[in-house]
Amino acid sequence: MKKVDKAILKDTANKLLFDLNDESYDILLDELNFIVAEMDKASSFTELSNISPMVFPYEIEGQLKEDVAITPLSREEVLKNASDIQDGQIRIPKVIK
Amino acid sequence: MNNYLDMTILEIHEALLNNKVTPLELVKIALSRAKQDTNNAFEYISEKEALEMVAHLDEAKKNNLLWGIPFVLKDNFSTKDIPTTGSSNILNGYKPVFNSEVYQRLIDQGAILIGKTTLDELGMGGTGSSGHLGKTFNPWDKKHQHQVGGSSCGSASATCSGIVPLGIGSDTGDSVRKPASNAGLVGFKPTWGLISRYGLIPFAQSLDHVAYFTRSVKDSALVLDILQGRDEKDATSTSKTLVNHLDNITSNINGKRIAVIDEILESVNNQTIKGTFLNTLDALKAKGAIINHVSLDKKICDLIYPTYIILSGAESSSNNANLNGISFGSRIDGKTYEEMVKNTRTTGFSEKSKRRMTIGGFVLRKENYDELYVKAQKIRHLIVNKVNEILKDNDIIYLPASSDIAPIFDDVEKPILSNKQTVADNHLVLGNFAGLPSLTLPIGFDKGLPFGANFMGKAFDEITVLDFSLALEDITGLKNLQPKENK
Repeated sequence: MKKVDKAILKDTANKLLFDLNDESYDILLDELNFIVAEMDKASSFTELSNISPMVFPYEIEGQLKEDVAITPLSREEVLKNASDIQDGQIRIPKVIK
Repeated sequence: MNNYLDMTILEIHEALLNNKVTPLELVKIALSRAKQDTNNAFEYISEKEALEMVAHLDEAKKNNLLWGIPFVLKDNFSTKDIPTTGSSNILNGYKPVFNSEVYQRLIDQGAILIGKTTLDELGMGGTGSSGHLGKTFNPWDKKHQHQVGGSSCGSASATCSGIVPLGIGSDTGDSVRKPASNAGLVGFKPTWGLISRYGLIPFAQSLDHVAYFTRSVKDSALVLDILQGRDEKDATSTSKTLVNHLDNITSNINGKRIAVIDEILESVNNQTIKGTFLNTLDALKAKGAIINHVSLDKKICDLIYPTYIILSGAESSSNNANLNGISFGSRIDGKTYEEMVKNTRTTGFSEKSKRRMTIGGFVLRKENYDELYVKAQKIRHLIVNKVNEILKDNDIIYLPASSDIAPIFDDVEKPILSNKQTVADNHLVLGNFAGLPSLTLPIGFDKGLPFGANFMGKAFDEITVLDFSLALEDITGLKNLQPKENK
């Protein structure tokens, strides 16, 4: 059975670049322990060893569009929703330390 | 008093053609009702935009069935220069620079947007309570104790209470078809790929569908005819030849085969629902349908919801990775780039949504990927094969839409997964796993609240789903339901 504990959940949340409150971690522990237990039960299905993972509900074929140039968004449109702009660019705290 | 807005789309269309009512009159009543809404159905009432649209309506398009018809749009559909929040604080202030394809097709017909409606945050929920504006209520319950459900809570509520005859939503795990049952509406989720998802904020793309609420089956057919079809901007949208559903719908089900999955039926708790459902089965049989009781291994039934939570959580954790407040949305600053993004996302998302995404992140961890995520994908494939096997020998699967009437709000945070859940509460996800057309419509009332049943058909066989639904609507006479106070 997969190990689920608060430390791993906090690490996961931090990798997703957010944090949760303590109550949420408690609820998550219950939920994930349930999920892991149910997935363990599924190991008894022999059919799973001969079946491929499903990505889409059915096979999608030949649906790529023509490679035709279109007019992209203007700089003004791209920047329209940003909250901190300077010299036509979005300003954020320094990335490289 | 003008009550045209309480009619079906087809009836309103006739009234418009015969000049008994004008689009401006309809829109003014819809806006007035929207402003008086006490069910918290709206993120944004588009009064200025609606009045501009109606002022510029093209008379030459008057024969279009949706010309002049007011509608609402779930607030996870992009609308150019109109706020689109996904009912999340992280998207406060965001105004898209483009229209979703669904919205564009509706306004091209002359339909009028009355407002953007509330949802469970970013589509991740089924209670109609996790959006940043709080709970959306069920118009059938004036005490505001019962949910309308979610995630398409606002569109369900607004259509039910007679603000509009058409509410657009999205359905990833039953988010239109379950609220439809709770609100006495027709909730239709066509085949995956039949309606473009361009501009729909993605929750889990392999499960997301455009879906919508109407108050009659024929209205549902006509809306499908307008929204369906290839969109080059959505690579997953189908290029199949389209059917005109409104012209071809019939209630003739003589000789057609209905499959009832016994394990799901048996898990329905509410005896009134079960009894009413069985009565409708007898009535469908009296119309010539052949009833086949079939089995789906209970061990597989029990895996439906955990599999859904794994797959949807994984996809949503990836999809929502771009919500960081930098290019758009609500940003909270920090000393470093990483601190800024973390502050924004910690505050911008609700605890519930963060939990869903953390489940997704957990199953995608290197050490868990094969045993949880890939396994869930294989289980999905197995389940879909079983469903398609049932449909090989049958024309439709028919079941109660839910185990009970609309639940009461529970303000205590609880796990979304537990042994207390029944497969009857979650089986509609089968339509998302398999991408099959699935429609819920009302079949009865219990304690003053409506409940529905669901038809699910073969891929791209919407006409059979609509035929059965029309037959059932004729049997029950339950059409255009609204709480009496609205009429």
